[in-house]
Parts: sequence; structure tokens; C-alpha cells
Amino acid sequence: MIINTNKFDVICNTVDNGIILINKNLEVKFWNRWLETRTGINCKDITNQNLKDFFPQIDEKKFIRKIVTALKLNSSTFYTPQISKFLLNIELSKVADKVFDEMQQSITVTPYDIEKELAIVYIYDTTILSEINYKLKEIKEEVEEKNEELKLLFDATMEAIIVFKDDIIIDCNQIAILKTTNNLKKQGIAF
Amino acid sequence: MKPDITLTEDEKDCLQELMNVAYGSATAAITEILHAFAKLSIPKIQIINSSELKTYLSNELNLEVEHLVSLQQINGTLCGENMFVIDKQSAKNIAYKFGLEEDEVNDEEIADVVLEITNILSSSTISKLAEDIDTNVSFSAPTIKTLTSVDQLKNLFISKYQKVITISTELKFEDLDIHGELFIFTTDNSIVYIKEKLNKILDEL
Amino acid sequence: MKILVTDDSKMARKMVIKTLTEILGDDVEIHEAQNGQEALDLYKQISPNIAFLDLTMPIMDGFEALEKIKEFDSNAKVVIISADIQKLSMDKALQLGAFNFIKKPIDLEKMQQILNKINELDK
Repeated sequence: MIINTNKFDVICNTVDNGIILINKNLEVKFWNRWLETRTGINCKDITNQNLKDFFPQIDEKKFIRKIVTALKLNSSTFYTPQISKFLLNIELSKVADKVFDEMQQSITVTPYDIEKELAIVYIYDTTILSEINYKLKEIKEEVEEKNEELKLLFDATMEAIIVFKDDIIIDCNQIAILKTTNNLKKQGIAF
Repeated sequence: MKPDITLTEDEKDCLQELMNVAYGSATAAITEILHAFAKLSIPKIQIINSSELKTYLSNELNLEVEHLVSLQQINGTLCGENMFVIDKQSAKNIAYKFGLEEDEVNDEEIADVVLEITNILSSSTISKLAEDIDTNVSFSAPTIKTLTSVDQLKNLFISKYQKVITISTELKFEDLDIHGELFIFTTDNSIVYIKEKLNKILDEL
Repeated sequence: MKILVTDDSKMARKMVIKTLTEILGDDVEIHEAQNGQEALDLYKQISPNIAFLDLTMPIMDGFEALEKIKEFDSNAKVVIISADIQKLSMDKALQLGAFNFIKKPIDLEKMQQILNKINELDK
């Protein structure tokens, strides 16, 4: 086994996420193997080039703002997958079960060299988590729809329906409320 | 013997002053980015029983109007959580200040702006506080929710802790009609750690 | 020499006083106030050589106190010591007549420079 004595190279090129070294003008200074394999762009082809030349869909204003803020505060800034689905549009090669066309990503922008205005952009593939969320959302919508249908049926019938759980009323339809109210009024009970 | 997790008046005063300096630093960072002028308020510090946290939040947060709440975890020996609360209109006004046009401002952009402000505020404030008490911290990525009720916040493990320190400060830009509040929560072990550090500072005075 | 130190935080006042005694020694009379109103009242009573004033205080903030002190005594030497380090705050304080502005946490050298300047003006 050949041991590569350059620890930096080994670590950066075997880690399971993307690493970009970039300046505030969006010029790429380093592009790791994870990104090479997923984007098909070689490190030597993108080094010293503008990232936007390869990924024109990037919101440049927002990205530069995040890099500048990270450098100014000397603290990381983020793109959260909750809001920003991805930074680099990398097509997913999934076939059987594919809910998103592009890789969903979580991004951290960390200051690297404040004087040289360099930052590291870490890219994490959060597609699986996003897929689970998507499916849960779908199921939730289905359940809500079914609930609505049930409610319509509940209120459409002329029969009073009261649902009990452990001797406590947990639900009833409009007819049940009406009939109960009328009964109580007849008995002279204020309601 | 159980560690003391209450703050004396002197410790509270010291923490308030450190927070004052830290928050001043954070506000200056935001105003530089937004090119605006903020009115600084005095940080409010309380130690409450962990069981009272929900009541505290119900009293502090006026959720009749739609609010965005952003949460960020603080990691290190000083650990806990930041919570930034802002009404939607204020968040929109910040978005305009960030240079977004009226037609660019949608729910996603507003949420992103709030996340960014949270990150700036919390990293400046807590980093400065950490620096002053001679410790290191790091932050997880912030998350965001639209809050209409305190019940939407679930801490299933709050009973693990006895006490919670709450530090609250207002972010106000009057000319721009922007008003938000930053809460910092820490619990038992961090409180003990903070006490140690505060007493070190007080001893040197 | 009479000095007035105003801050709602006891610790902040102690830090200013510690810095002052380090520079000036014990031969200085120091008075403390907890807010702008107290500062104004004390200033009228004791007419200090220098008044150090925080900005963010309850009851009356530093800007208002500064204005009122300068109205009472146009030659008042008021130095703002504040955590509010926004450029606009510093500019506003200087416009209202502050002699100088020190950011918190206090830098000993900066305090020394300001005290030297005031000393030269008093000669």
C-alpha cells in the first residue's frame, strides 16, 4: 500500500463531502475529488476560474454576501437545506427511486484566510434526509385530505355520531351537537 | 454536593455587562452590513427553573402577529441555544436592506435573511462573550420555523436540567421599522462554568 | 481632581475606576452614578473635572445626559465609554459635544491618551 505523505490531499480527497477553496470574487482555488466525481469537472480545469462560469444558476449576490460575512465575522455562515435546496446543481444518478432531480445540499462557508479573502465551502449531500421529509409531507397531505373527507361524511349524515375514547367524548358531528343542545334546552338547562 | 447553579447579584451584573459588550459588537457588525443605525437595549438576564421555560416564552413572545423563529445550537464548554424572534414585516424590511427588490422578496428569501441575521448576531455575540470569558465555541447551522404558538417548540428533555439562564436583547432599527429579539439559553453545566469564569473576572477587579 | 463615573453596571464602573486609579493613583476623588439622571444631578452638585458616561442606561440614556450636561456647562469634559461601537453612535456623541469616545472593553493606553489631553487643556 502506497502511503501518500501529503495528509491534506488524502483527507480532502477521501472525505465524503465537497470542499471548495474560493475567494470573494468566486475564483476557485481548490476542488476536491468528491466534487470531481459528481460534477465531472476536474480540479485543474476549474482552478483559478470563476465558479459561475461552470454553474451559471448560482445566486451570485447571495453567495458573495455569505462569503464576505464569514470573512468579516471570522465565523461560518450557512445555506440550510430547509430554505436553499442546493448551491451547485448536480444531477442525481438515481434511477429506481428518485424524488429530486438535483442533489439536495447543506452548505457551510468557513473563513480560511481573512487577509487573502479566502473561504472554504463545505458541501454536504442531504438528499436522503430531504427525500424522507418529502415523503412525510406527502403522507401528511394524504392524511389531511382523508380527514377532510371523513369530516364531510360525518356532517352529511342525519344521524348523530359521537366518538368516545376511555369514556371521554373526543369528537362528534354537527347533528349530535344540535340534538344535544335542543335536548338540554327542553330540560331548561342553559347552554 | 450539588453544584450551585444560581447567580449572585454581582455575577448577574458581570454577565450583563459582558453581554452588553458582546451585543454591542454584534450590533455593530449588523449595522455595517445593513448600513443602518440600531438602538441598543440593556440585556435582560434571568435564571428560571427549566419547568418554567414554556411559561417564560409565552409571556415574552407576542405571537398574535406572524413571527419567524430561528434557532441555533452553541457548541463547546459554554453550550446552549440561540433563538432569534422577529415579526414577518421586520424580516421583510431587513430583506430590502440586504438589497432585495420588492418582487424578489418571498417567504424563502425572508427565511434566508432571518437565518443570516441569526447567524451574524449569535456568532458575534457568543464569540465575543466566549472570548471575554476565555473559552472557545462553535455553532451549528441555524434552523427556522414560523411560530404561532409556543407549543410548536418541543423540548422533550427539558426536565434533565434544573435551571435555564435566559439572556434577551432587542434589535431595533427605528428608522427602518425593524424589531427583533435574541434569546440565549444555557443550562446547568454551562451555568456552573460561566459562574467560574465570572468570578475570575470579578476577583481581578 | 474630581471624576464622575456613570454606568448602570456596577462592574463596568469598577473597571473604569480601576483603570483610572492605575493611571492617576489614589489622589483622585471619584463619584459614581447609575444612570443619566443621577449623573446630571451629581454633575451639578460636584462640578467634576471629567465625567465618564455610558450610553445604554435606564431612566435617562447617555445621549440625553450628555446633552443636558453640556447645556448646564458648555465646557464640560464628557468622555463616553460604551459597548455601542456603531460609527453613527460615536459620531452622534461627538456632535453632542462629547470630548472623546472609548469603546468597551477599555483600553488602558487610550484612557491614558485622553487623560493626557485633558490635562494639557487644563494647564
